[in-house]
Amino acid sequence: MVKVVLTSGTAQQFTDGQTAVHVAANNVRQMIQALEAGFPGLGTAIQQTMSVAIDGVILPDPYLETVNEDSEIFVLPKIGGG
Amino acid sequence: MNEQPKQFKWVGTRTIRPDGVDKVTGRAMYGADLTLPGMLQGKVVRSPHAHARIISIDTSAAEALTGVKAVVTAADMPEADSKLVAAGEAMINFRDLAHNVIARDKVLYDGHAVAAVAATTNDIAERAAALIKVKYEVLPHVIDVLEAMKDDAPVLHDNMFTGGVKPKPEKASNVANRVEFGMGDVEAGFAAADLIIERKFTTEPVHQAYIEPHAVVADMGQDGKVDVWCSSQGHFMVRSFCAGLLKIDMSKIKVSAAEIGGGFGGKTTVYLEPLAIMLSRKAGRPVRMAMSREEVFRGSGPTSGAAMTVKIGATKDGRITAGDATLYFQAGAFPGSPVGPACMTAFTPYNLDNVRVVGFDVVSNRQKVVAYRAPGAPISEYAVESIVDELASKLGIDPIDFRTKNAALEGTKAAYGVTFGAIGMQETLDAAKATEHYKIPLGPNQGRGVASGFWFNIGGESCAGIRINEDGTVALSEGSPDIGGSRASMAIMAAEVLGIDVNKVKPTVVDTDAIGYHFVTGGSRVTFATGMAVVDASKAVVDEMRARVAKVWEVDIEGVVWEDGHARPASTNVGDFDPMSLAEIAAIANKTGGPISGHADINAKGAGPAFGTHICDVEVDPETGFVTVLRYTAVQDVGRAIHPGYVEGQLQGGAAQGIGWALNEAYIYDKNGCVDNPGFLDYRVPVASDLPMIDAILVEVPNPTHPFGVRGVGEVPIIPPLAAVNNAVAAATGTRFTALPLSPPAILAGMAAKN
Amino acid sequence: MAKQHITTTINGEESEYLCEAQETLLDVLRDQVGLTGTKEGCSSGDCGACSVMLDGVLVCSCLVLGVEAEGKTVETIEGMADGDELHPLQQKFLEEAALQCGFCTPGVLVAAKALLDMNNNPTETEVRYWLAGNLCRCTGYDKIIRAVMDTAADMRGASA
Ligand code: FES
Ligand code: FES
Repeated sequence: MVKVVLTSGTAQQFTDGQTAVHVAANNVRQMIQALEAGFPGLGTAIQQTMSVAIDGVILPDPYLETVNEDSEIFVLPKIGGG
Repeated sequence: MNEQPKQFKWVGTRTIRPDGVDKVTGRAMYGADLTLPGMLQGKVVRSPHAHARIISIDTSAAEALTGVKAVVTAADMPEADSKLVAAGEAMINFRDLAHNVIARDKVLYDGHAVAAVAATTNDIAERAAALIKVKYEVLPHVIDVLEAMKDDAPVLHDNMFTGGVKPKPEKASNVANRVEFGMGDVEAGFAAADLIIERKFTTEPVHQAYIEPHAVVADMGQDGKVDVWCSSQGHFMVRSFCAGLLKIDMSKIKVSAAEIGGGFGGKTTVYLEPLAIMLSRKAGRPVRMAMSREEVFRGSGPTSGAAMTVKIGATKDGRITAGDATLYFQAGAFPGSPVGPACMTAFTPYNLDNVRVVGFDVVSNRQKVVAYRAPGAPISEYAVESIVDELASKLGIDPIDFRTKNAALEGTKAAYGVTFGAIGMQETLDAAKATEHYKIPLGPNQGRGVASGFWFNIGGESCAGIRINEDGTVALSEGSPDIGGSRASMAIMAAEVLGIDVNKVKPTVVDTDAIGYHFVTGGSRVTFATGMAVVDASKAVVDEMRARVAKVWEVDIEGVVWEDGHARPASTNVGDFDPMSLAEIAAIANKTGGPISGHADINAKGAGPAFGTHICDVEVDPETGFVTVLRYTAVQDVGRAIHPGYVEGQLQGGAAQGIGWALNEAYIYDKNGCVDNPGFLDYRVPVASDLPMIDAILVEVPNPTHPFGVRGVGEVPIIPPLAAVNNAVAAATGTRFTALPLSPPAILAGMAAKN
Repeated sequence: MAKQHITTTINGEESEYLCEAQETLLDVLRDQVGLTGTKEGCSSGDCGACSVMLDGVLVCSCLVLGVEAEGKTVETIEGMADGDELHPLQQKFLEEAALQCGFCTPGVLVAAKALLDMNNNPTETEVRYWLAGNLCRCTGYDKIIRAVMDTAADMRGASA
């Protein structure tokens, strides 16, 4: 199981306020699938409007990266810039 | 100023930029400089109302005018899919994008485009534009962000329901979205505080105010193929947006990047480009469109203004115990303000246990906002840094020492979630404290302000191609529009890896047919991400050259090493061969396997978070309230400066923009919701006589994920100035101000209220 | 309206063009003569991107009519270098990174040259006020001011 941390806003929207959820996944693609299954809409929202940060590195298009129990995983809005 | 690190030959040196001579002689071609045979001139018809329903558009009189070749309205653009796309700082809906380019049923702000015309001369196009009769039903409008949130406010989009809240609201409103970030227990944090300060702040929308107005030339052939030439921060973005809006295959659209006369985020979306293509399609001739300055202010995006409440608590010895902020951001006419990044950056310079930030994205009858340098961060960090300064001063602690007690360090968990790796926040504080500037005694009516700032920096898609020419010179292709000297940095990085003279490398920003997709030039990503592609492509070329030499020497590739621009035997075991220079290898390339090239197509990850700390001295005239900036120092952790001259320039330019934001700049609306100051006379950006020299101090804490340690530079320097100026004015006047801009009347009023 | 026939000297060369009465010198230079080095940033005399010399006087070409150039000399950025030799100001701007996007640069260079031709020992304040009509949004002016002052110092050194 990997631990995925959500912002409090995202949590209110999809997980009844739970900011840390656990899912079974070996990579981001599986993680997004599992999140969608457990919390309908969350996986889609991540793919469309969010980034994932793994161990401090923000990934703009997360998909194939591997994750494990020790990974620090955050879901956050996409970041652009001027 | 940093010394060049010993291990590099070119990185860290001040080379002459490859596009420099063109730019000092007038030869460089910008957006409006291209003329094609048979080219027409296009003009946009814009709404004079802040909010109105379009009843009808009569184009017949315009079409009848001699010399008019095409007129288009929203009816000429297919209705867009409701689909999210990345546009600068935020995701925006494709349908919103379409409706911003040309209004369909309603106009939502003064200056909103409603029609466009192409004619043989500018003069005829202008007369034709005046002949287009648009019948409007004027609707009530709302400009202010807090007004727009009220229950009885005119609603801009009756199908918009606030996102991010549960349950989904039943009534449409102007609040597009609510976001929230946080960690720890804010209430417990405040309970542990000895001093709590809470204030409300406002900022006004400000424009990027690049000196070059938006400009484009579009030419569509009868076969449906389109050539576009435009001033943009992303010609690949222009291609994908135009393809999507006009439902044309991407392969049919070729976009070339003109030299770009500034963007600062404002050229990360499309305005004229789809209209120029539509006009060219109808007329069967090339069309040039260029905005006037007034159109730039009325018809293109500024950044948000905001209303904010910020509360911070600290212990007597200067440790921050909790931070809480609520941010209301104007998005303009369509959703998509940078409130998300504003929330995420607000408290990030500090290592805090208890943080909560709530943000609202609110539409009103203003120009749709678009990215502006570190979108959102200058606004939220202005409020936070102003209170941090007040806490320090009330607790009797030096403002730099106060920040040191709370600074984010390696291992600090940021309020937006991630744990930081190597970062340089503390290093910028140390460098600021060590400056001569910080020790200069101040006179009467003078004050000194300090503020820090944080920006993520980003990576994203970039590509590079390196080709070795027959004579040993190098052609470097990439696709990031060069807005401030990036070609110089690319040439430096390639020369460093290849081990050759930087002047032998010619970098070119090529068109969308010639290389793979690039995300826009923005987010301080180009030297990082495109630089990474250039380094990878250069390494591929080195490996290819080693392979060629290995064939000649009849050894394994491992037997050949690349050093200082030469292939050499890896050790004496390999054999006794004379080193071969790049030029020698190039000369025999055809005999060893053909032309030599290397490519890299990447989606760069691992951009390095960056921090800056600025010091500002001001003098406030007690009679007039006029603020003079006396001294200014900008310190920033840049990871590594590839070309220090252009890196310093980013710090200085960002600081100047931030000073303008703090002191002068603001959109002003009349009672009808129309922009009252759409020109440089009334929207006053800093001029040379307004500013002192700006000392730029580069701190280098290398970013471990970039081969040369680059973090990205351009965003951070616009963040600290707003609070640095505000804090300096507070020190000079003994009054805390909570609204920007700090115009002379506002300062006089504030000082009078205090006495 | 009939176009007017105008004869001028542009960058040392006799030039003729036809222009409408209301056309600005800026538009004429860019659209008729093909000298696009002179830039348009505002068309209202506020940004200085269109700076040129008209009979030796620094003007905003967006505020001058094309017909007003009749019989006069016009100098633009394209005439600043001497063949393939850059003017010292142009060279200094490159060496000191005094440009970023480069859009303000032609106007700044034309204006700075006008200053140094009159006064080869300006103070920082004099340079700042002389260039106050040339907006630059990229550089914060620091490197521009330094480049102008350093060029002036070099020119004084060379003539001493
Ligand atoms: S274009 Fe002439 S001053 Fe701006
Ligand atoms: S260099 Fe861009 S406006 Fe001056």
